Formats: sequence, C-alpha cells, structure tokens
Amino acid sequence: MKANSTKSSAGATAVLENGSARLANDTLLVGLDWGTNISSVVTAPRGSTETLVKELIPTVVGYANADVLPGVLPGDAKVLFGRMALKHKGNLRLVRPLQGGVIADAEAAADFAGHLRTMLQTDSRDVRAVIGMPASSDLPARENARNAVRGVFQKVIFVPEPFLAALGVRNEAKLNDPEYQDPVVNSVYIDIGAGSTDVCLVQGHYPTVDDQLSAPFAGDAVDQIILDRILAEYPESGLTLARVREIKERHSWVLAEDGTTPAVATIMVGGKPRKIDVTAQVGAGCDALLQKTFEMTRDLIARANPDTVSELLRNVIVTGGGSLIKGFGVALQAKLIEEGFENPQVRVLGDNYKDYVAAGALKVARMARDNQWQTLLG
Amino acid sequence: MLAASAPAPFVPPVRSGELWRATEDAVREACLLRAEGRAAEAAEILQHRLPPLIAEWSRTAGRTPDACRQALREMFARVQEQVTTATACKRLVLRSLGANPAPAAPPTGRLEVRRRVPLHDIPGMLDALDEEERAAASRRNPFPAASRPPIPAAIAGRNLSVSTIQ
Repeated sequence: MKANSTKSSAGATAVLENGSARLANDTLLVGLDWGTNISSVVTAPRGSTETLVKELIPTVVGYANADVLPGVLPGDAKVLFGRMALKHKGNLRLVRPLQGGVIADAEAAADFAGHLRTMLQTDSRDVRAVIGMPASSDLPARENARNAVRGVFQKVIFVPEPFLAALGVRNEAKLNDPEYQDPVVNSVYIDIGAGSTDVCLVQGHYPTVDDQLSAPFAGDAVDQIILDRILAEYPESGLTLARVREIKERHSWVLAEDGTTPAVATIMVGGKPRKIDVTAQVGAGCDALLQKTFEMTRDLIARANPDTVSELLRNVIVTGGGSLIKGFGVALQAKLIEEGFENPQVRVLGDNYKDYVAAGALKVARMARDNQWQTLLG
Repeated sequence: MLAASAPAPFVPPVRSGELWRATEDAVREACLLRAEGRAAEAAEILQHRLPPLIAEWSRTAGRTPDACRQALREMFARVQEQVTTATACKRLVLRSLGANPAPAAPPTGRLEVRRRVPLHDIPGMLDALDEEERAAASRRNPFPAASRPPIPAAIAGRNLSVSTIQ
C-alpha cells in the first residue's frame, strides 16, 4: 500500500496534503502499530481507497527538564515527541510509554496518543483506530491502551499484530496473478517483538491458539543479555539498557561471517568515552534469540499437517524488530537446513514490517462492522 | 452407586437417597460447567447449592462421619472421572466431524482466537476475538486453585474433612 502523502516525521507534525477541512464531520480510519520502540500510523477516510497519512514515529516522549533555558527547545516546548524528543534528549527526560509491546507509563502513553491525534490534523469528530497489540497482551494491558487513547479516538479495535502483519503483507490485487505466491495461504509467521516472540502457522485462516507458539523472549531479553555480558567485562561502564538498545540496533548480527566486521561502540568507562569491541556480546544476545526462534519454528512445523510442510517451508516469514538483526533470515534458514528440513526459504520483512502491520490495521478498519467497534466514552 | 472398591456398599435411606442423588447431580453439573470453562457458574454450585445438600445428607444418612467422608470422596472421584472421560469423547467426536472442540484450556485473556476463521473474513475474525475477550472477562475471578476447587465449608461443619474434589 502506497500512501498519497508520505513524509518522514520530524517528530512534531505530519503534513496532511489533502485538505483537512474536507474531512470535517467524516469518519477517519486509523491503522496503528503502537510499537515499543517505533510506531506506524496510516489513515484513510471511511469509504475511500485513498490513504491520507503514512507515518513512522519513534515511540518516545520527552519532558523538558526544569532547568532548560528559554529558547533551547523549539517553541520552548514542555513536551516533545518522536524524533524531536530524541534530537533534544539532552534537555529532556525521555520516557518510553511502552515496554514489551504494552503500556508501561500511562501518562506518557496518553500524551503520545494525543500527539498522534495532533499529527492527523483532522476535524473529524469520528476517528476510529484499529490498534495492533501483541498476541500475548492480557485484559489489563488492553484496558490500559483503551484509557490511553480515550479522548483521542472515538472508537477502537485491538487486533493481534501477527494477524495484521499477515493481512498487510498480502496483496489482494495480485491474487488472480498466477505468478503471485500468496504469502498467507500456507506459511509460518515469526513475529519478534520487544517482549515476546510469536510463531504462527498461517494456512488460509487466522492462527488459533493451537496454531501458534509464544515465548516471553525477544528484543528486551537480547538487550539484557548484551548488558550483562558487557557489564561482566566492564563493570565500571555504567551502561544502561537504553544505550544497549542503541548499540544493538546499530550492530546486531547473527552470522559468523558478518562478525568479521567488528561492532565497536563508544561506551563511557570510568567517566571517559572508550571505543570497545562489543561484537561477541552483541552476537551472544542475538544468537540466543536465533536459537529460541529456531526451536519454536521447528516445534510448530512439527505440529503441521505433513502434507503441507514442504510448502510451509518455502514461506517462512520473519517480521518484527528482531527481523532487523543482520543475517537473521539466512541464519534461521541455515539452522532449519541443519535440522534436516528440505529447501526452507526464510523471507525477512525488514524495515517495512511496521508498514505491514499498520496497513493490515487499516484493512481491518475498512472491513469492520459498526457494532464491532468499541466506543470510548469521555 | 458406590465404587466396587468400597468395603461395604452404601445403601442410603429413602430421604437420604434423594439427597444423595441431588448431591451427585450437583457435583456432576459443577464438573461439567468447569469442563466447559464456565467457572463462575461452577463456583456458584460448589459454594451455594452443594453445602446445604451435603449437610442435610450427612445428617440423615445414618452413617458415621468417617463413612460419610469416604462415600463423598468416592462419589467425587467417580463423577469427576465420568466427566473427564465424557469431555474427551466429546472432543474426539467433534474433531472427527470437523468441528471445533471445546477449549482445552480456559480463556487466558490473550488476544487470540480459538476457532478457524478464513483470512478474508475480517468481521468473522473480529467476532472470534470478541468471543474470547468476553469469555476471559467473565473468568477474571477464577477458583483459587484452578484444578482443585474447594469443597464447601458445610462439610467441615459436619466434621467431614473432605477438603477438595480430587
């Protein structure tokens, strides 16, 4: 799905090229992948095939420090969001509203949701959002999300992210093309988020509880492994998980041949910046995730109808933040071959994975019946 | 009525026999409800309907507390085994018919579906998610110990130390 109006967020505002006045009193549909580290939002008027806004924004809120001098922050803002918050982090207290894909800071989450509404620049009184949530999220997590977006969206629906990714990656326009291989007819979906890894069999229907495996081992666990390993070697570094996340996003890898390019990070040790080779530590964390993902994939394939396995193996799709680890798809494919699976083909959605979830959410928003929307009062 | 292993078959008096059958029916109903994931309704029976039945039966049974306790234990075990077997049979039959079996585990509150919905049927998927959410919401106050619900306090009042349905 291609947006008519796409603009990289400066964190403050997204530009809506098609006049917002036209939207007044209409229903605006929103597809939102509210991610732990980055969120993707896409909007469209109800009843229309056009897309108005398509935006990626880091899921972070920055609250101005009390001692910031006038004129330092743009517009002397008290709160900044997304990339603007990251840009001015030196003068802000940065808060990530979500952890493990669910809301951890209610106030920051509500502020972030309010910012999303500002981004949409719509006068529509009826703004309806389909929001992707981890399949492992529980009832309180969804209640927290509802509370955060109350007053921002009038109606919401929560849908598991793997469902949305499957819907988003499917190109309905090509279903009649004999050359097009429908990625959701018979495939294994691996969604590696921050808090959990979900592996699903998608075989023409939405995966049921029997068609999926979930483990609370994902990006956050990798961060912790890397942190523990670095601290074990450099206990005086005072390294934080936030810094480890930055290092991982820049240097993550799983294949030995990639490891020949050392991952060198600048870390404060004893108050002084030092360039340290963290290749082994980062590799250890990523390898642990690879091994866990491989075991879950192997176990889930074992559950599948034997007649479908050969086609399943040709459609192993990795999505989520974990798919951004360099070499992950190739390494997973190699492990499946080592295990004895024939001709597995692992496809990594990569940087676009957020777009697929948000696009899937918009598809759901367009198809949902009126009585399936949850109305948020107040 | 009693298991073959009982040392002496228990033959209750008429009034006691009616109470015994009512008690057994209530236990069976509670077990069936639990097997269907309807924990709140099962708890209602165990906590409110069963205690007076057991209390009244044990008063009219003409048996010692130890004998009453033994009879109850055996009846609980037998009924629970019957329900477990029946539930397994039901799942096998439904599976052979291509239908969806009853949930093997109670709703967890996770965002998931338990029945197969074709990918093109987005409203159907949303209905299935909603069903799961409603089921999970109705179970937010489950038994303290999910697999071993407590036996009503009335038994203890009769000095019968049966503490759980096994």
